[in-house]
Amino acid sequence: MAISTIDNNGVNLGQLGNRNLIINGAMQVAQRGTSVTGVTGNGYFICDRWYWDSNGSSATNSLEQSSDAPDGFAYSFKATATTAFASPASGDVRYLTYRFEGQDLQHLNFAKSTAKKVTVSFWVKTSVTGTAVLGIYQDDGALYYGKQYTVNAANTWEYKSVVVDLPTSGTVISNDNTSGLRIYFGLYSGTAYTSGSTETWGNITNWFVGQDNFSANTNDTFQITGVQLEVGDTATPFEHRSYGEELARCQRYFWAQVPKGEANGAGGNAGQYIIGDGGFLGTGQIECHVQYPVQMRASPTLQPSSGTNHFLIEASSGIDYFSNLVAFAQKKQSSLLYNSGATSGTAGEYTRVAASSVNSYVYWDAEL
Amino acid sequence: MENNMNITSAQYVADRDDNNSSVQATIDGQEMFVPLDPANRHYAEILKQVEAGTLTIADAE
Repeated sequence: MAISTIDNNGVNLGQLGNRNLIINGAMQVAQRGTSVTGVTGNGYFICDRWYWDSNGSSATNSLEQSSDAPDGFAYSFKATATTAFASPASGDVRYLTYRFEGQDLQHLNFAKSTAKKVTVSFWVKTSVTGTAVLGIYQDDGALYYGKQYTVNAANTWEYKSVVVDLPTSGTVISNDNTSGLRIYFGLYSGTAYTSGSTETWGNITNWFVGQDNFSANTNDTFQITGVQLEVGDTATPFEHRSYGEELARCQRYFWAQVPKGEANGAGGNAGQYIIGDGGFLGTGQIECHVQYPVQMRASPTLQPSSGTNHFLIEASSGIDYFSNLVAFAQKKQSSLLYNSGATSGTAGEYTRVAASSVNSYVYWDAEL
Repeated sequence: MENNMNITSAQYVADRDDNNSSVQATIDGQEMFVPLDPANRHYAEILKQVEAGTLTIADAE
């Protein structure tokens, strides 16, 4: 049968690939590390692409890429409240956030008469039962939305799906590399975000209507994995991808060029983690070219470690150790690293740059 | 829903031609080198705090 004769009735569209618009929904990739404790602030701490976020005051949490996961998954994102946060003030809210690039969402027809429905499906496990909210925020139009789901049993993995009607009017999502839409899994919320209407696109009071507190007691836990956002009003089975494919997708947003602990400080080649080839610009000044594994979303921020003997250059004139790196010419595809603390070498001499301490790391961050 | 970054220092880094190439900043306790790209979240936050008058970017050395 010719391909042209296959129509939508002849293909199970739910089995086609690239349905899931979320990267690392199975929490496989954790380039920054797998656990962190004492967290009160916001940031990309463990699983790639997942931003631990809040407004106002916060509970203290430990976060981990947990191996406790439902059947068919290896990991979950787990947050544990290490201090109770029973009474959030009006402006306090905590959530786990995922941000999409606007250019990846154009087919949703957001704010057009042909706007699509989308379905968010996921596995969740919490230490207490109650009502939780999937919040959404659209950056271009500053539109908020929330829809409730129920956690029926404590300490049990439950599969949930939430169908969302996208608005048919308003401001469209810009077709660019900035944040176009964000989804939020709420843990608690103050009244500033709960006094409006649920399942209604509008202002910030609509955001977390009905949200119960999942951090009210010390050691309360919230876990999630298998997160999928797809077009349509039906949740289809989670689209599993290989670790390598998820890692490559994550690297558009964050690249741990030297992961923590990978250089072992043993000295010699065995203890080095090579960063790149370079040369001496003049006495003591070295420059090193870095090519990222994929084109990044935007020019990335360099986040290097800093400390005695964290980095080295090795040239025919010898080995010099130094404590920090500086970035120049950061673009989406490549960058230059620089240091002026090398004590040997002459202009034009080849060198290689490496991390040399067990505490060394080099991160490139182009997250949303 | 904001990043709420705590930026405690910011200074331009100049290249060999004395053009500003990046901003060396301490953000949430981490030293970073931030490119001058408005799509970069760190630079966007630096610009936001400069606009609000709560942050000044020092000249390059």
